Amino acid sequence: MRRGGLNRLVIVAVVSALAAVNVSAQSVPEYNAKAGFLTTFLRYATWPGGDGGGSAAMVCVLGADPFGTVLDLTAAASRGVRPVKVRRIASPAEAAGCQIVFISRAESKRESEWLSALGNSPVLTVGESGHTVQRGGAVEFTPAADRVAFDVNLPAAERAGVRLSSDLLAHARTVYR
Amino acid sequence: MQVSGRLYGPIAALVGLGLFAVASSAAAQDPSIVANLSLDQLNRLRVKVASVADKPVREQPGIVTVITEREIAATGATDLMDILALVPGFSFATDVGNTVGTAFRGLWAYEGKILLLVDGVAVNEGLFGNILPQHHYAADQIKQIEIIRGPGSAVYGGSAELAVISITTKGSEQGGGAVSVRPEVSSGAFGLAVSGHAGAATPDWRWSLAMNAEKYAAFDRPWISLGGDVVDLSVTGDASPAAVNGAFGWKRLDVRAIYDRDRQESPFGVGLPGATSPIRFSWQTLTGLVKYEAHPFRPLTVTPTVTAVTAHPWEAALVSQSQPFYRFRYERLGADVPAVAAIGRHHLRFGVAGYREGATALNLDPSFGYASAVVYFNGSNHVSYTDGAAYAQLDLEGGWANVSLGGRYEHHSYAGGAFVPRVAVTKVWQAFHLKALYDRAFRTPNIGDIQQAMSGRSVSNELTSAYQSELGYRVDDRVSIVGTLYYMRVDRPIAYTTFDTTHHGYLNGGPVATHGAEIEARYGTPAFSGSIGYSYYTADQQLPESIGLYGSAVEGVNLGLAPHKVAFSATAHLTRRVDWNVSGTAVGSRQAFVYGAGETALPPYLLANTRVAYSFGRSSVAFAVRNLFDQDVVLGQAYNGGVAPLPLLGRNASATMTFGF
Repeated sequence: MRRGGLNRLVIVAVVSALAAVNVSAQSVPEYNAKAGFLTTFLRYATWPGGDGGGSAAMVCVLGADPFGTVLDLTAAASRGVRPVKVRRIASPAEAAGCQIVFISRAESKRESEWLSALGNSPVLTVGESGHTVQRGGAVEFTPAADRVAFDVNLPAAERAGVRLSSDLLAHARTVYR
Repeated sequence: MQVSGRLYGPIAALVGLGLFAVASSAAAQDPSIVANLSLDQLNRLRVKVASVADKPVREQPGIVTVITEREIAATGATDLMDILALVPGFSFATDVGNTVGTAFRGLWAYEGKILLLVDGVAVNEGLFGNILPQHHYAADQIKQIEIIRGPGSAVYGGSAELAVISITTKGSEQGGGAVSVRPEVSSGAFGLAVSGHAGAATPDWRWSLAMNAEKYAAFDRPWISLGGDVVDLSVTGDASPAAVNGAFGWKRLDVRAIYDRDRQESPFGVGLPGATSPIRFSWQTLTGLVKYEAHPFRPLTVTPTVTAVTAHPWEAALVSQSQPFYRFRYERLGADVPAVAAIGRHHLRFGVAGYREGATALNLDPSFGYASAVVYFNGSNHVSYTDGAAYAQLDLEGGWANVSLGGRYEHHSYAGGAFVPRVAVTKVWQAFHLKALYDRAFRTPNIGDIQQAMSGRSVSNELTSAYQSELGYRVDDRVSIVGTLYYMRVDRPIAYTTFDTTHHGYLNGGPVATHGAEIEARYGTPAFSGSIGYSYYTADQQLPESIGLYGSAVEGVNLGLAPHKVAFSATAHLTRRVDWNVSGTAVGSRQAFVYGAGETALPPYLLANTRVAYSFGRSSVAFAVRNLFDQDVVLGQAYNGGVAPLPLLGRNASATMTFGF
């Protein structure tokens, strides 16, 4: 084979190999990943009263919203059993109808107060303050090198009546029982 | 039509790359990509490492301006000069070869006082540290510019003395690309720019490629040298930059190569011994970067980076001849090992860096007054220096305020050591933010400064002290106002001067200082967005008469640099597809030397531009008219160095057609 022909074959082969690379995951901003976790948690937990008869599952952001439009886009693209909606709320009193309540680290000072106010409401509380689990939250995002990991406070979830699947617990970095 | 066999390979590669870009575009751009991943996939998802720089601008421990791709596109900016003109504090003056240099806060910063980074690579020219913002760094390939208005030496070292300009070009996040053509015409000149960029990413692989080649309609007005020669710059003022910037990444490894060629014709040869026709100056640089992001243990990120540069800066040849009469090769090999450790909410950044740089005289024509190349550097054709540094910055997030404490020690084999500390306090309180900063900074002399030191003298590091404060107020989500006060003093400034025919060159002069203010208001809604900024300086200390060349007859004013500037940009989003922008600068009078009149006040000007763009999908068509009122936009020289004021383009029009894919 002429050398030029070999070069062309190599170019086409390399390009084809690049084009065939799997796109199953992605290097993403921190809150894109966390938005993915929040909508995915809905598939790995059950709430009192079942699946709500097919109505939309509600992910609520309590207080400061670090997501911008990312959480809305993620929720809209979610293909779970139930459609997912996003609501911003200003106080725990507005959490009725929420399946997940997320409290950002910007609200660290009020997190303890808010978690107490949510009490045993049937919501999965998720935080990222570094103290969420100790303060009685059910799930806490924690940094892990260049990944997002999460810890689970199982008693807190149980008090809220939220049952977490064994699969979810298996993927947690730490499960506090 | 028969396709030549020689073209088959490149065409196949381009088609394949295009398919690759399209195939992975969704993964690269869409945040909803994470919506339907399994927990296992989410656990393995790589997250961009948070750093101090990821904070909102109002919380960052510096006076920072961020200009986005969208803002750049709206104004129709074509080069770095257009973009910087809209930033408070920046102004421009002319220098040798009819080049345009940048000044900041009333201080001439053309030589090595501002650091320019392109995708993390320092691109200041090697011999004198120049940056050339005019007709250079294609604006349509820029994704974002982050400007530190104030010293950055504690982090970036010996060129980041007054400011740092960090350009990030469009990269793998594009998930596609664009090709554009821009013809432009003025009353006496015609220009054409062709540009293309593309990029895409998958979880592990990413790539980007950008290319541009341009022939600017650079000048259309006569230039009168200080000797009285009248030159038609539309004939002799050709500017034709070209660049290729390619990057490839695999997991945590990034490799980048940038080729940059700037070329400009100048009538500067008039009067030079041996110069019988205009001169073509060119700057060619090839830069390579390899970077690896490592996480040796949980809170620590280390990003060793190696850069290599080979360049031919300031190459000069008569337009009528192909052989250059001034030609050097500049080489630099550098390494930087920055680390970031997250300690709770606090960050510690630290690292070590070093480089070795050298210059080789390749061709110097004695008939132009140069020493022979073989003995140019103290009896040799080559010289080299080494430099090493260690730095650290601790960013503490406190309940009352955020505090940054940092410093850098750097030792240069010729200039010796320099230590520069910095302290920044940032307080965000509801709609207000307040910053107070103290920085020391330094500038290491470049090879050209050292070589051309005044006979019998040496040049040493110049040192800057900067005191800055910023107060910001966000009225609501639409309106924000930010004001800055500063005092900047440069001790031992490296300045070129002439005592007599045998005593001329670089030396360290007495201190220069300016103080002033900058204020900027921004407004943004879905239908309308805009900004207006005002900047002012007054010179407290100027180089003394004994240094010559630099003093101005007007107290408080530095030569070539206007004390007052207003910059504005307003974009109306008329429909979902149509944007209309008006932008520009109003610049006050400047002192400059002109033919037959000595030091003179150049009149103020209003440089106003307008642009209408129609977008469809990722493609667009835009029409722009620049210098709408056909003003005489004239840049003086920032010292009495024998270069007459440079008239820039009068009214000119362009059409930009962009095809996105």
